[in-house]
Amino acid sequence: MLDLWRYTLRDLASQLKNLKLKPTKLIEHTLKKIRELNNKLYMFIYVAEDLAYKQAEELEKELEEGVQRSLIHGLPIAVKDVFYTRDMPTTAGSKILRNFQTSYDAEVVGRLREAGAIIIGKTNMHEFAFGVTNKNPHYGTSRNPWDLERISGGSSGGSAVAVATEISVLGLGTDTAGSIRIPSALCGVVGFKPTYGLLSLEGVVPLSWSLDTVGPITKSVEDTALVLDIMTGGRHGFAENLKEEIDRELRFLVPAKIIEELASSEVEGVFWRTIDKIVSAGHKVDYLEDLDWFKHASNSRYIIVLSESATYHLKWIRDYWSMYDPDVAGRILMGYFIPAPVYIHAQRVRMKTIEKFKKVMKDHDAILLPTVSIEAPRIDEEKVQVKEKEVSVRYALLCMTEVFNSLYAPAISIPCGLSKNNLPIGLQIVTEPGQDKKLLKIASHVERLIKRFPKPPVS
Amino acid sequence: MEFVKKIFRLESIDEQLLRKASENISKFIEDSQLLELEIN
Repeated sequence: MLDLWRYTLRDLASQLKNLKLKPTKLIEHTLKKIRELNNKLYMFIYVAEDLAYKQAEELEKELEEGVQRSLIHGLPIAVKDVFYTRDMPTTAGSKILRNFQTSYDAEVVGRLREAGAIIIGKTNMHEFAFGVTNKNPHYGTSRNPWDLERISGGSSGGSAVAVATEISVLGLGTDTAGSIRIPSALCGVVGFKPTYGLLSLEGVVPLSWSLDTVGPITKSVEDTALVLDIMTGGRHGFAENLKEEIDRELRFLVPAKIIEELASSEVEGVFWRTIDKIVSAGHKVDYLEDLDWFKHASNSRYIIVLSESATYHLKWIRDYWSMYDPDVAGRILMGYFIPAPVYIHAQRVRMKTIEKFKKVMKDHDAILLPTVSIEAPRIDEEKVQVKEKEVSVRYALLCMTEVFNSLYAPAISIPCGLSKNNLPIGLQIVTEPGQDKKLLKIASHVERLIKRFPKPPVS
Repeated sequence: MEFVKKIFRLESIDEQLLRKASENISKFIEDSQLLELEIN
C-alpha cells in the first residue's frame, strides 16, 4: 500500500512527471482504499471506478509523451455532490435529485478536468448543503477518521474525509456558513473559503446565492494555493506569493470575549497554546473589544440563508416535502414566513457590518479564532455542554464561522493541535474581503510555526 | 399563516411543520433584535 501522507502535491506531481508513480497505479490504490474505507466512513455517494481508471490510462499516455498539463495531472480529486458533473449524477445529498445528471460540468470542475485531474467520485454531504453535521438520512452519516463514533462535520464532510484519509489531494467543497472550514477543522485538514465570488458558482446547486462560496480542502496551505491557481486560471499567483517568507511583525486581532463565551475549555486551551507560539515568533496579538457587529452579521446571515433557500426550493418543497430530511425541510419552510422587509433589512445590516469590519481591520493583518467551538461531537449528540451552557450541536459548530460568510471575507482553517480525546482542533484565520493572497501567505507562515500534523487513525 | 400557505401554495404540507416553522422564525427575529437596528 502506498503511503501518501508524507507527499505534498508538488512531490506527487514530480513523481508522476517522471512516471515513478503512474496514474493507473495511483488510481488502483485509491479505488482499493475507497472500497476498504467507504463502508466505515460513508464519504462517497458515487464512485467513478471505470471512468476514473480510463481517464488515468489516457493521462498516463500523455505523460509518456512528455505532456504534463499541470501539477494535478493524473491526480484523483473528490468533488462534493453539489457540483454538476457531465458523467456522474449530482444528488446534492438529496433523495429528490437521486437521478439528476447534467450534460456539462460546473465551471470549477471543468477547469480541474482540463488541468488533468481525475474525478474519483462525488462526496457525501448534508442534504442540499443545508446543515453542518453531515448526518444524511439518504446516504449515511459521514464519519470522522479520528473517531468513527463522531461526525465529520459538514456540509462538505465527505470531501474533508477523503483528504484526511489520503484518498484525494483535493476535496472540492462549498461554504455558506462554514461548510468547508468546519469539517476541515474536525478532520484535521486545511479548508479555505475564499472571498465571495473568487471562484465561480456556475453549475453548483445553490443554497443561498449571496452567501455561497466554492473552495478547496487540502493537506497544506501550499497545496491550497496551487489548486487555487489552477481553479482561477493562474491570474492571481497564489502559490508564487508563498515563496517569499514573511519577515515583519504581523498584527493579529483575537475576539477573546467571544472565544471565552462560546468555546469549550478544551478548544480554548489548544487555541491559546497556538497563540503563544505565534507571539513567541515575534508577532503581536490585540484583543477585539467591539463585538456587536459580529452578532449582527451572524443574525443577518441566518435571515438571508433562510429566505434565499426558500426561494430556490419552492419548485420542490410543496410537492416533495416528505422526501426531505425533516430538519432541512423545517429550515426551508421557515424562509416562507420571513417578510420581504425583514430580508431587505438583513441585507442592509450586513452591508453596515462589512463597513464596520473594514474599520476594525484597518491596523491589523488578520483575525485569529478557533474554527469550531467544540471538538467533533458524537453522532448521537444533539446538544453539547459548553462551559455552563447547553447549546445545540449545530450552533456550536457554526458560531465561529458563519459571520465571515456574511462579511464576504476569506477565511481558512488550519489544524493547530489535538484535544485530550485525540481529536483535531482548527485555527481560523480571516482577512478583509479581496485579501485572499495575503491570507494564504499568513496561513502558510502560521502553519510553519505549528508542528506537522499527524494522520488520522483510520486512513 | 393562511396567507403564506395560499401565496406559496403550501397547502399539501403538514400543518404542524408549517406552524413550527412560523413560530421558530418569529422567535428568532424577535430574540435577535435585528429590526431594532437603525440603518441610515
